[in-house]
Amino acid sequence: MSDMATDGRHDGHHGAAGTKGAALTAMILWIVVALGLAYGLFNTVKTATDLFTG
Amino acid sequence: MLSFLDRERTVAPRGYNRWLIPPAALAVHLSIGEVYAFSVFKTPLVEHFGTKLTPIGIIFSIAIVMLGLSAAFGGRWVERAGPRKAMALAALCWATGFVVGALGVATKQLWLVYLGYGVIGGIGLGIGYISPVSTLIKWFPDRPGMATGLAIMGFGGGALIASPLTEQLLSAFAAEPQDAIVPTFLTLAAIYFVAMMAGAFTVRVPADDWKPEGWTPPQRSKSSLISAGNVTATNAIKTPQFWMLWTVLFCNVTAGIGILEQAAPMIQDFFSSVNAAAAAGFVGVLSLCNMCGRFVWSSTSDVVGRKRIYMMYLGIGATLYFLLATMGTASIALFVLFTGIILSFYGGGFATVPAYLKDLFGTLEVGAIHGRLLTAWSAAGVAGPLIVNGLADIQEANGQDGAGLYTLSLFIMVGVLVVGFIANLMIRPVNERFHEPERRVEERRAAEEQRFTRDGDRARARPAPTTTTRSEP
Repeated sequence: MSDMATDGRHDGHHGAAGTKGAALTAMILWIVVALGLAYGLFNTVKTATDLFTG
Repeated sequence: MLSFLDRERTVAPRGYNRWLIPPAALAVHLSIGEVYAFSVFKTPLVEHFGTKLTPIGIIFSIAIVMLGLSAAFGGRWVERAGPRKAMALAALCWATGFVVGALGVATKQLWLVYLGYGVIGGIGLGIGYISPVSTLIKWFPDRPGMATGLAIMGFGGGALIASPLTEQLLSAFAAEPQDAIVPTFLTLAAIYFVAMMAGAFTVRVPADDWKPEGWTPPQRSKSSLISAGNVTATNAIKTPQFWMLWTVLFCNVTAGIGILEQAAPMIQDFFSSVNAAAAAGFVGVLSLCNMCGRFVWSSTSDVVGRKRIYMMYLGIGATLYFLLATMGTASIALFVLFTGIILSFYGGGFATVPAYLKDLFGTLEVGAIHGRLLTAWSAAGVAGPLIVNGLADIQEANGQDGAGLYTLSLFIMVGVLVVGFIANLMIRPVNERFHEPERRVEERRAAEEQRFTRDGDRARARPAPTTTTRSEP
């Protein structure tokens, strides 16, 4: 099953540049989101250990 | 310049990978999910304004009520305007809310904090919450539960990031947390504005006739809940299915929010050995369960079906509440296990509901219908804490203490979940008389197409030959 969209209504030169920019931003956002969640998870695990270790 | 925000400018081009859409939704939901970490500001705000907890707690309540109201009244606009404009508006409101709130703190005007974080920020919450949902459902018609679960997981996970971040900012800007609220508010405003605008820039909607290659909509039997037609938001609220689902969401949220809101004092009342730091750890564990439940259970619903997964949330949830009331004091591990599962069902209920709506009412106005359903959240946000806190006060006045403060409210939650379970059982396929005629749906899509071509051409000033090319479905 393909994950690609199949509509070409914004495939002009400006659209293609914009699409590349958006795709790059999306990939950076995946990294930022993953780092953010890792930061949150790390801090949660750190405090949660108090619960069982006293 | 602002035409960049138009729905017509967000239609994905050929070859756009749909897995580039979820981070846009996550960026928005992780940002607005900060609201669940508002309790970090409670003590500094109490100190700063020299007031009690109740007037400060009102800030959060206003924000949640505004979330429900703006989602209900703004849902249709979000559908019409498209996700990019909605996300940009949400970013503006959410950041402005912090800035106006900071002004209120700086000038010691509590009403400005109500207006800023509560009202303006609350509008950002509601619009931001619903803005990516219908877009994701359209991108992932084969896995709608997983897609919405992924986005709405961000709302649960927002507190995981915001809570330690806020604590670090409060201690970095001043010696006393109450003196650091203004710069912390302004810093969070800047961070969240950038993150949400990055999401708005990235988001794309699929073309109307797009579907994943090789995917065909599932064949529907007569008993299937999955609708073959589309229902408008105006008609959806006239159906018993909408109100049954409203009841289901209300009951599930009431039960979960009662624990979530009272988590730290509750575990300390159940186990006198638990100190404040460990109680904070417990709150973190619940947030994690809330977040993971959104993704795991909502994805599972794609396999087992929406009705069955809600039977699990409500049925097993009621059993766990009963066990908490009867043997919750047996061990800390058992208490954490039971409440963790309950909170994962609470999150799962939120994340599965857009896919349930899509099954019942189709995709035509699923965002607007979702917005209206979220009024159940506002109502539950008042009812849940009221039951737990109110009954705890009454029990205390009657001489009870420790776990005894919560026994009655836990049994009431069992009853609330049983009511939700029955409401879910009563959900049947939507009567075809509520379906929009196929001809009208086609006309509407054609009108949108026409508007797209006209506005898109105007926006680009020079039409490219590919602008009206439609691919094969």
